[in-house]
Amino acid sequence: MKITKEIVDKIVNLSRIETTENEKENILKSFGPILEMIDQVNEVELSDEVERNFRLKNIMREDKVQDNISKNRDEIIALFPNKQGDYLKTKKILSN
Amino acid sequence: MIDLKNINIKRAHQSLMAGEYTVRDLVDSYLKNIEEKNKDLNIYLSIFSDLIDEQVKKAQERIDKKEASVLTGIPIALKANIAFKGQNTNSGSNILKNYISPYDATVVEKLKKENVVFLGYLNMDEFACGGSTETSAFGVTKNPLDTSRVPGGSSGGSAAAVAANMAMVTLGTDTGGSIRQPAAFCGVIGIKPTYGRVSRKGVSAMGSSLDQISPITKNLEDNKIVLDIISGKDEYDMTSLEKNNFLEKEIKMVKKVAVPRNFINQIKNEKVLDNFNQALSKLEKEGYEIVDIDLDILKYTLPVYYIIMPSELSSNLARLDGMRYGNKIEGENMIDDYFKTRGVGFGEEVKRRIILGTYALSAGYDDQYYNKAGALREKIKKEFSEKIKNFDAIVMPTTSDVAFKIGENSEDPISMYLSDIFTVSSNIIGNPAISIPSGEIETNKGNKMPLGLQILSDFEDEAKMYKIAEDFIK
Repeated sequence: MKITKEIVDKIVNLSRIETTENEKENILKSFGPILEMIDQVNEVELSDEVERNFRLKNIMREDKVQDNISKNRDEIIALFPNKQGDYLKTKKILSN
Repeated sequence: MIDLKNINIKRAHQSLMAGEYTVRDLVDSYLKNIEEKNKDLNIYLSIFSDLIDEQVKKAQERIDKKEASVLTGIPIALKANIAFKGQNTNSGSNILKNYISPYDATVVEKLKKENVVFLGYLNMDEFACGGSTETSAFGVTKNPLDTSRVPGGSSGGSAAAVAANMAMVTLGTDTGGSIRQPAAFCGVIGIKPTYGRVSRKGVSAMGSSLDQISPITKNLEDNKIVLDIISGKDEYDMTSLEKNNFLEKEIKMVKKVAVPRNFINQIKNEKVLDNFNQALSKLEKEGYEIVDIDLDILKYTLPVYYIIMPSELSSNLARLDGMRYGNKIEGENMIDDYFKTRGVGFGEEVKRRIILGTYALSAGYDDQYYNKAGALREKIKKEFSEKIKNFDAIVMPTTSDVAFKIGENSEDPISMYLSDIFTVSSNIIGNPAISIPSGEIETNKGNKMPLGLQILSDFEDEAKMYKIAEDFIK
């Protein structure tokens, strides 16, 4: 798979990272050899059975109410970059 | 003066119990070393100054009452991605430069119960992304054995601290070799236990299906003591394993170790190959039969790793958006806050890996990369399990060369990634592996640098891995 300027623009946007044109060019350059290396996985033919058996399993636990969060409540609130009283404050999510 | 060079946990414990010296004496010896060397080596990011007196007092009380455990009063330091309540768990990143952890990692809780003395936080590659500690936002750590060289990484501070007698034991994390590679580069012992052996609660997640916390020490006994204490099932890490006395169980040795010869022969430095072959001779003298095997699938562990790790990393680091904590940079609107916070907060290598992971997971590429790598990972596990059945372990060098020079690989991501080639296997497979010093080779102008021998045993079989390591060191 060849990586292009358009793909880099799209992925950088999905990654939510502000990037200069210079940085994007560096990404484009360094990705060539990296993709060549990881593309090796496509050399291997896998039997359908192996591929079908690849499933990550979720391990669940009981949804019990626990008193852990409130133990550290003040420390957690102290970390908020913006707050009003004990509430986390963010900018408006929906535009007009 | 306490001889820190030849100290170990049991000896220190006996001396503390016999009153030959106090916890204060022991801790001060390390602090003095830190004070003298840290300016040059940049191993510690912070010292827990406000906590040390209280920890020393409590440990000494337990010792005076003869209620001490073997770890009481032992000076330990932590990689800066392991949460310690009230301290700056910054993971080597600007984005967390002012972050104060609101809670303790499970491993910290366990060690607090023993009344160890935590000295401080150690330098690391930013969010464990690197193999040299050069990507830290807080400057490179120098290798104490040769300050023109890197200590390895990402747990470079943790390995260097043990090598420079700046802590008796340290904890690091290993996602693709981040404990074993720096341990080899600094001439100390580092392990990556079975996946699930140690709870990951409170460690900054890098590749969640690969990460493990574990000890770096000068000797095997210390390593076992600390691993024993920090391991076990934790209800806050659903992948953690029941302990089942994994270190005490009876082991049946077949006295055979396997060498994936084709895989190892890609090493270009003849001196490294010689050192490895000498290590094999040593094992042979201890009664092990050395058998060359084909395990060609190992060559895919690195590409599989460089798909799975960035994919999991990009998803794990999505939480760092400046909303709830971290170094927030204000933008014009909320989405702009994300872009600016992450653009300013993350360093180049972390960005590269987030972007690579986002690419591998994005619509249209996920089948080709993440899903394919996951399936191939299962195939690798299966072939490894079948092969290792007939042996006690598979042995390999830990690294393909000695510690490189500072700056040597930092402009070339691929050569940096290749330094993980022998260590990523056991993270992909999930089995335990240890790196133990295998002697030194000459570099230039008569300088000598250490190498490591890596021993990989079967899943949950740390006991066998330690036994072979003991036989090797004998």
